[in-house]
Amino acid sequence: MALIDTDGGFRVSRRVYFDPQVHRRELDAIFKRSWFFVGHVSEIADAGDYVTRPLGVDPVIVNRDRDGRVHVMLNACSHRGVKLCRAERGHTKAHRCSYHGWAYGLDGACRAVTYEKEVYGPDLDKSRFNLPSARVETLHGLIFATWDHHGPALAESLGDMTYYFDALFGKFDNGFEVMGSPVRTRIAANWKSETENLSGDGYHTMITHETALRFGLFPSPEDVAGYGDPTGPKFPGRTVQCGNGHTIRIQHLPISTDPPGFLGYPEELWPEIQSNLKPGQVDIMARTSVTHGSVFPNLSFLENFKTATDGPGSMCRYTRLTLKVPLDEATSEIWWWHLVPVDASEKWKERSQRAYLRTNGPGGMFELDDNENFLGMAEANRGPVGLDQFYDYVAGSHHPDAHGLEWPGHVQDADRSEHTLRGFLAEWSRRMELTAVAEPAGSAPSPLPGR
Amino acid sequence: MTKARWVHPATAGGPAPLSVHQELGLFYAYEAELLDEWRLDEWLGLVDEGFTYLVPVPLVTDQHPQVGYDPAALFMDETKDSISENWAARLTDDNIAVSWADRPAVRTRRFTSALRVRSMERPDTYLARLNVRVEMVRQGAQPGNMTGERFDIVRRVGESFIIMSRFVVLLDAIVDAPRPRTIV
Repeated sequence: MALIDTDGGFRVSRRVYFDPQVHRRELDAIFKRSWFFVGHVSEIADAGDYVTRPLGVDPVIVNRDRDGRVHVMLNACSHRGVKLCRAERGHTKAHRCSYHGWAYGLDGACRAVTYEKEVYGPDLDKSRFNLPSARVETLHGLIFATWDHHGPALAESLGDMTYYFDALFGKFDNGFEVMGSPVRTRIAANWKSETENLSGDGYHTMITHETALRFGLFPSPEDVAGYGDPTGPKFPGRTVQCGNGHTIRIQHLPISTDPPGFLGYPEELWPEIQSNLKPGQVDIMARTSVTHGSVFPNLSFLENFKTATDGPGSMCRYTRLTLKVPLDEATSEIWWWHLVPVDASEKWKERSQRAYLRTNGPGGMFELDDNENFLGMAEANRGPVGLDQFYDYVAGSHHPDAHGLEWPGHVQDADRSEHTLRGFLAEWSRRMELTAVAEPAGSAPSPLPGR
Repeated sequence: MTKARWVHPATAGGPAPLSVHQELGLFYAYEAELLDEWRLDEWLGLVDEGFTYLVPVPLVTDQHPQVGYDPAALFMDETKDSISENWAARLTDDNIAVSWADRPAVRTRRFTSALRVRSMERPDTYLARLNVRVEMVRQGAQPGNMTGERFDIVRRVGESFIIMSRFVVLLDAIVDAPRPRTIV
């Protein structure tokens, strides 16, 4: 039985999510080889700063050396495998093991072996015991790493997603910084459930989040009418398969603004947003209601504009990153970062944090109801009959492609769609070395080939 | 990023009289009943108009002793108004049918201990510290919990108290409770 069946549709076996054998295969096929987000440069601003993170599913140290370079290495002593850094965040000159005292530099090189000559003789080659190190690249302050030293560079891997990343994270002169340490949560759900949702599922919003709609947390046309010319009641949205499993959904407020209005951001920062972006990127970020997506496999981003989070009439924007780390086929650890523009005022940063925490934060209203869906999927589909069922992902396959845009990738002119979910799953399938899948009949050609 | 924006309240004041400890112990038992029964509208009557509920992000650092949280980031940031408008309002007859995570409600029991009350400079105002464990059962699943220490500023009003602010330092490094959006 095929795990993904595109014969006349787009059906995905529930074994893809809840079969332990599929999960074990994912660890090798996907979580040893991809580029993974591990943190933001502002978390390790000074030489010697470190944080501990997962790289794929393996624990790593992310630190900055004396030359300012960022290193990512396995958080396990090369001698007996004891965890080296036991804190989540700290500052050090070296990493020393608590068992036999071996010590490693900030570049992961084995620098000292206790009683070296007595225990190992005069000819020990310590370089044999350097910590396994990952390949590291940064993009707009986001640190990515991979265990694959011979695969594509980050830019090549991101492909068309780079254009959207530049719009999201490259729009301020001095970039973003983290609003403190990430939150870690654990949920009894498969890692792909939320990742698919965040890849661009605009179909669920008005159902799952109906209370938020009732409470005015979604902007209404009336809320924003004073900021531009109304274009009608509909919030226009688009979804994009960027290739390689990366995706984005972009929804706009029903207004036109001239000059471009970046509602929710401090108005004094609007000119620099416009000057840092290409026209097509301005078109993405101006009058944005929400934009979210995923970098394959497990990083999701969300930039959201919300109203009434600080009382009637308030509005603000926030940027969130979440990383979904599979612990088993039905348990995931989620890491949550909140990013703010470095040059925003302290007052704005705190308002942005409140807007984030009350909606899309780990205890926010949106997450509360989203989690019911992800938990329910894991609870209802792990029996022998449930595992034999399929999920259907054909929604929106008849939607037209968007034309006349600068935006790269396969762009569709609608966002109540599973277009991006299919893009994510097609890459998952390719990486799992299953038969390549195609878009459902009637849709545009698959973006998969030509990677 | 290490800017200390939020820290737990402290006081140089001495221990409050035993009678205040006893009264506050009963107050917190009654408060737990309201929270465990999801009677948020009544619970809101126990807090000041300017009430704030802050929970910083749990964090394990290499410092000794551990503070246990990052003063530069919050996990929860609520006020009386936001809890009224975005928490309690979900439970009304009009909204409960689409408040998916609240129907069926997560069942909770709050266990409090180690209440220590110290006087603050302002008359009839106290810093109350106590340990809290919230056991939770979501639907038919196994229980989960959140554990932390409350730092409440409370003020005597007549025969009872009103909570001016609550700052909770979570023990959980990884929040795995079935309902993280909770008044601990």
